[in-house]
Amino acid sequence: MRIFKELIKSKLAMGSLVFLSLFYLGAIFADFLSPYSYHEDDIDYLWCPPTKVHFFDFHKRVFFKPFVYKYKFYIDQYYRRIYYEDRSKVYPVKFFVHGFKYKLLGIVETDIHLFGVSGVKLFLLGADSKGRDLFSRILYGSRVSLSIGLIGAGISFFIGILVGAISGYFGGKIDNVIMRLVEMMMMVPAFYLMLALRASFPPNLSSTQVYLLIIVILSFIGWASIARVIRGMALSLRERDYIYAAKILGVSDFKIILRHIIPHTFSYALVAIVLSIPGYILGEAALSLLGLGIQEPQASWGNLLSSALGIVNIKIFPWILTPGIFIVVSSMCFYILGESLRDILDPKKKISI
Amino acid sequence: MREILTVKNLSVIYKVEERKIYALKEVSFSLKEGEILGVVGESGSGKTTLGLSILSLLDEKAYTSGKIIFEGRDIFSLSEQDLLCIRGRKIGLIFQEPAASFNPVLTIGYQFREILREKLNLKEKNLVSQIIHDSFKRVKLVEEERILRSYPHTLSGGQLQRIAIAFSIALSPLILIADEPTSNLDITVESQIIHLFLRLKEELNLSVIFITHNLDLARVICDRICVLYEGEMKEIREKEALFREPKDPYTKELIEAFKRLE
Amino acid sequence: MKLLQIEEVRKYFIHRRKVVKALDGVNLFVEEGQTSALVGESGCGKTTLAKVIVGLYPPEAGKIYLRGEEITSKKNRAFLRRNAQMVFQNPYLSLDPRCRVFFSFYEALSIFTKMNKREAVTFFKELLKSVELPENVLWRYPHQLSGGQLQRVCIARSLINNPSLLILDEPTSALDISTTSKIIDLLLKIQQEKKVGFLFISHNLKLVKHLAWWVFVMYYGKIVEFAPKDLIYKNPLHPYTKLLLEATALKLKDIPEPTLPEKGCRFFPRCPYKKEVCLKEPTLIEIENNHFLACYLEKG
Repeated sequence: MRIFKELIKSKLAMGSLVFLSLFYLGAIFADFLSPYSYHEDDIDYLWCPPTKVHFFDFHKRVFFKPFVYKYKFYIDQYYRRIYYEDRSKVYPVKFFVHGFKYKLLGIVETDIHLFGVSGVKLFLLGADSKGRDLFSRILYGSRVSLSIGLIGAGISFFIGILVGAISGYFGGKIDNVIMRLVEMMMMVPAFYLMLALRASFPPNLSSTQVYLLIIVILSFIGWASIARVIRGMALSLRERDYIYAAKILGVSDFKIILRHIIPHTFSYALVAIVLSIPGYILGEAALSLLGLGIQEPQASWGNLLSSALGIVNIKIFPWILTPGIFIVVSSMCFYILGESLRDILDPKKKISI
Repeated sequence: MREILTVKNLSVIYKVEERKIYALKEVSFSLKEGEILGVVGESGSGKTTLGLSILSLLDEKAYTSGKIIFEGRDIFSLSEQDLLCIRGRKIGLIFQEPAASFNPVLTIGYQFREILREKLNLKEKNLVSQIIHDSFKRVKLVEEERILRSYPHTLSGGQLQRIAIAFSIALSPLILIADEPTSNLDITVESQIIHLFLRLKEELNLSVIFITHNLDLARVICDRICVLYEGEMKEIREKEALFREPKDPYTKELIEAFKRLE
Repeated sequence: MKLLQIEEVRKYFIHRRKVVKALDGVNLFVEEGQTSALVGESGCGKTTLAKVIVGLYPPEAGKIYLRGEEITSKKNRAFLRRNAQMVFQNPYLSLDPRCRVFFSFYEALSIFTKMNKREAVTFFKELLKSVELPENVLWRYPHQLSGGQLQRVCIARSLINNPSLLILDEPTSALDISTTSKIIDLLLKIQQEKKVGFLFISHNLKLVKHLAWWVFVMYYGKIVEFAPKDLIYKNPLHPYTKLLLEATALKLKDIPEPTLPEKGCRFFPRCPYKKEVCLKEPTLIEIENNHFLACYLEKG
């Protein structure tokens, strides 16, 4: 559409869109892209650093083909594992290999993965305390983190727009009551409200239950601020002549709100939704980081970062921070996209030479 | 009467999505000293663009060609410095929306003093008060003290437009461009403002370019009338001649509609 | 029985803790198939009156009868909607800019009539013809049409459910002069064909001459004079009416600013003929044949 055409003009916006598309595609095709399952642990590879992928080995006469060596370790004086490469044997990296079984897009059963190695482990981003591949876990984690962002924002806005439009359109007592409610909701600091709500449910729930619970909590906190803005817009929109005309024709209030008030809030709402998604991603990350969200062995970017809570770990195993980079990049992309959309949808559009 | 402003082959072009749009196309005319020249046209005819071009106030994305000669120089060739000397000081502008001439957060008095200070370099209190008083008298505004202390939003449209005119004539301009100055006002106020313009023309020998879509007004106030349609000047004649025997087909249509509604 | 009868309608607003009497005892009527013109300047209350008639604001006092039915109460809403419609000043603001003409029409139609979309298209094409618009207008967006075309669309939409009364609030003020002329002709044609009564609201006394049977002059929330059209122009009695006529001819040179006095005749501060007796508010009395005046000046 017209919006997309405008968006293409900005390199920053396009870059963000591309990145986000890659992330979301990564989430959808996580099984295909990960060499290992998210819970596949391996005691031989605890805290293994990222595997170096080589392309040249003169002794073994390998040129321009990716391969890895086996990682062995020894225990040093501090009882830490020090990993080193065993260059005796070359393990080529193959593409479209067979691996663990999964259902592609939830429908088709298959076991093909994008890449893999047989015999040794290939950790693109290193391994965690249980020897699980961080890269795979990040991909699986993105499913949770990115989807909660979208769904949470979606539900919040759905409720917020409806409530705001009704409040603004009718005014009077209805508006008063609803706005006082909104203000009460906004008074409580969001983060603590989130913790309190989570704590009021039993700590050990199944992963699916926790997932849904987090979405409900985040939506519950988020709808208030959007309701207030939409209510302001509805308040001014309802004075427009075409609303009066519709009333005079006899169109019911409900239809007026749905057909004439709410669609005119879409420009603002779209920008606001996109700009708020990082908040939901971070909200889920915060909960999971503190152990109140997604539980092990399931992965989410937040709970992947929980092992990064100690400075010791970060110093010795710096790759453990990678999930944080993903959070930052995806949040930034949403912000850039939101700002670009805001500029495009700005009501004053000028003629250019 | 000598010519005080000459417009030669003025064209104003905007480029919108690869297309060229002519706001004005090869418009040429002169303004004689002491006359009220009407620029009549419907919405989209380019009349406001014409008014803004004379003061070089167009959007920087507009492409202009042609000349506007004032005091022997082409306005488009002047530097910003020179233009600042002309705007307001030698050529004044009255807007359609009365409140548009004012800063809503400053009192009328403050703005009046600011104008005199910036444009005429006048700082001496007595002189400034005298000029303000004279201007108010000339536009027949009463309650001078109260108005000077007021903010624009507390005053009516008619009062604001009179004040805008007062601001303009205080700088003793040679030309006044009035862009639909009464379109947003009630008929009773409109009538009074029109007579104010006529009086100012007499008393100050002011030359006025009066832009309007209202033929009624043009008939009463103007000496000559220039008709614009879609950026082109269709006809420019003495008022009575235009109404009696319009030559251009578009003008004929206009006059016919006008007579029909008489 | 008159098509529309308004009796002593009052509407008050509260603005910054003060009571603003937008309508302070208005009496007006419209006959079947005829036009009554309501003339006054901005702020006199004419738009407020229009909104009260169509039920957007409930009046503080007074009664309004449409074809004998009292419409001031909420019970007769459907009757009101069917029989009275309104056309606004700015056509671009009267239609939802995101809706094509077809949908604006269809929305109006579906309130009282069940018609599927295909039949509706045929019906609307006829409707467009009756307001002298080409068929393809049906699928356009408001911003793709000119002011004149769009106002015709608004007029067409108001006629969809065949109302007996059409209130036109300054319908040509935002239009050019040649378009105005054509719209006036269109309105005359519609009135003749469909026998719709018009309440034509305007500030332009010259314009209403073409349509009006009765002219009502309004000032600060009250009708100060009304009469059949010819009498108003030939023999204006109220000083305000005379003022308006003078201003319309652009002959008015000086008059004090309008202010509303505490009591007595509203026009007192600006009246050139003020007398002692004017400190008591005058009421509308019949001076001559159907010519009503609220003033103590009998002979004008």
